[in-house]
Amino acid sequence: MKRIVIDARGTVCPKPLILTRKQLQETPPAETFVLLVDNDTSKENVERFLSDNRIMFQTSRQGDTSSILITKPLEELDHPEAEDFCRPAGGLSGRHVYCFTGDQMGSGPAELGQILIQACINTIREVEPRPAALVFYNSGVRLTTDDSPVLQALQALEKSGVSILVCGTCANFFQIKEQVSVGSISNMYTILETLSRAGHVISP
Amino acid sequence: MKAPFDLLQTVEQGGCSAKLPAQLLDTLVKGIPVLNRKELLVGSDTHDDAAVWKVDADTAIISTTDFFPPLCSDPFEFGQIAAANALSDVFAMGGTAIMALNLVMFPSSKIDIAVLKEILLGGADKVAEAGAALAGGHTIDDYPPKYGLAVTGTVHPDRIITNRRALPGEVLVLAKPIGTGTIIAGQRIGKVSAAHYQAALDGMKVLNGKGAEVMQAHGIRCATDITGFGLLGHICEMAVGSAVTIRIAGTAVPLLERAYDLTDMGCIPGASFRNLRYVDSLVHFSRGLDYNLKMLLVDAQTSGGLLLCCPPEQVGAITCALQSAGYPASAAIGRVEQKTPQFPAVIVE
Repeated sequence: MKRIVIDARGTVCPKPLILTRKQLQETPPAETFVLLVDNDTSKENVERFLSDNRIMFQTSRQGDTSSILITKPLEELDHPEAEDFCRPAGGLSGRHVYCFTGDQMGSGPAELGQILIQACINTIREVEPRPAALVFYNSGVRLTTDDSPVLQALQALEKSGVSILVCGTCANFFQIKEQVSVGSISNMYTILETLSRAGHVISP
Repeated sequence: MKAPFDLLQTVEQGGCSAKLPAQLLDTLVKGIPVLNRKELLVGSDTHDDAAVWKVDADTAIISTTDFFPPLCSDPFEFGQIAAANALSDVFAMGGTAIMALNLVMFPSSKIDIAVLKEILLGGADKVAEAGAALAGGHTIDDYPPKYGLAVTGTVHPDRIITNRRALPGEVLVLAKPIGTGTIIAGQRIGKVSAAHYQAALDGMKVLNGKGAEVMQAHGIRCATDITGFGLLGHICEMAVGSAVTIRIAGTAVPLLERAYDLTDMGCIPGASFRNLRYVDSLVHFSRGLDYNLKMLLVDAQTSGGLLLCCPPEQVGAITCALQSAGYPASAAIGRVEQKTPQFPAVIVE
């Protein structure tokens, strides 16, 4: 089957997003299409729209052109929270959330702790089912910056629909807010709400 | 007769959408030395709408400036809107405009100077409506054109209205509908009818001066006007500046006709995403909040309405007064709560 390609190159905001929205309405659930854009602002804005609406996507880049592979979700847009209402009492079937409170795993030599946390984050995407979210606070926020060894793994998780929340107070404290390169800068209220809605919380 | 010159062909983004991002401004002004004098009652530290200087026990001077590239085709209308937008900062502080200077950048070799004349006539029209004197200006040859004003106003030092005096228990009232950035973007791609577009332009031309009078008549002490950082950006500044939590009822916010449909189509201006990134760490969006509504709450406004805080028992009287003063969409949109450490500055339901 021939894949649908929407060519939004040469256009600026909000045109690429309008084309995306239109194609999402026409594409049957679980099927994919490709959007081509050639400026970073449009790429970032479309990606933000997709992750806010929990739509799976994957971006690859060739020269100036970014090609975003978009998968139409199974549930209707605007009702992404359906599972919150359908969840049985007790919340056991809620998806799990990983909580990273430091830039190392376990207590022991720092070097070992760093190796372990990298291995942990790189492995999350191999394990089914996927978590609903990854939460980073205190020195854990250092794992989300542009020089983080696990940045690619985190970006891949985000693109597969896992939401990544980075504590804004912490990023400010370490003065690395500008370097945070994945997920969205978040606040205590949203972080606690995410943790309290989780089926269970894993703290590596 | 020559076809009228279309100002919009000179720009990609106009009005307050052309502002530098708020985050960038924060880092930019950090480290620039400021001379603080006791007469400077409101300075740059609180992200307020204008600076205020106390002259004596009865008079304080309000000083502000604002200019931007074209956001509509017609030069006269552009002048009116740019002037209304610049004057608004004086009104948001509860003041009266007394004097204005033109700020002009215009490519005299590229565009007929008659176009500039129309822009200036439009600006003068609004300055006169505000009861202020147009007393000069400054002109630079530059492309694309930009226009605005430096405005001086006065207010009694005890009656200054700032954005940092929101008190827990108070209710927020917004005087104009939001969505101007979305409507302008939609018009540029041919998705807005002439009538809906004109309604948005007419709203931007409405001076906030009558609103300032209503605020003073009711003893309001906390307000701001909604411009380039979007409704939520300005609410964040108010919440942080006042050390409170502000809770907004998303569905209560008045919207310009057609703005919601455009957002639903994906017509979301780049400025909205920029504003969203700025407010991300300060705002909690509840789970049930409609995505389109969320994006409209960060839509960059040009010459937007006043947003004021009033005691709950005054909401009815103030909303009615605003509606009859020429702001028919005025509505209560949220309330101020005690700040607790675990809550973000703003919650949107």
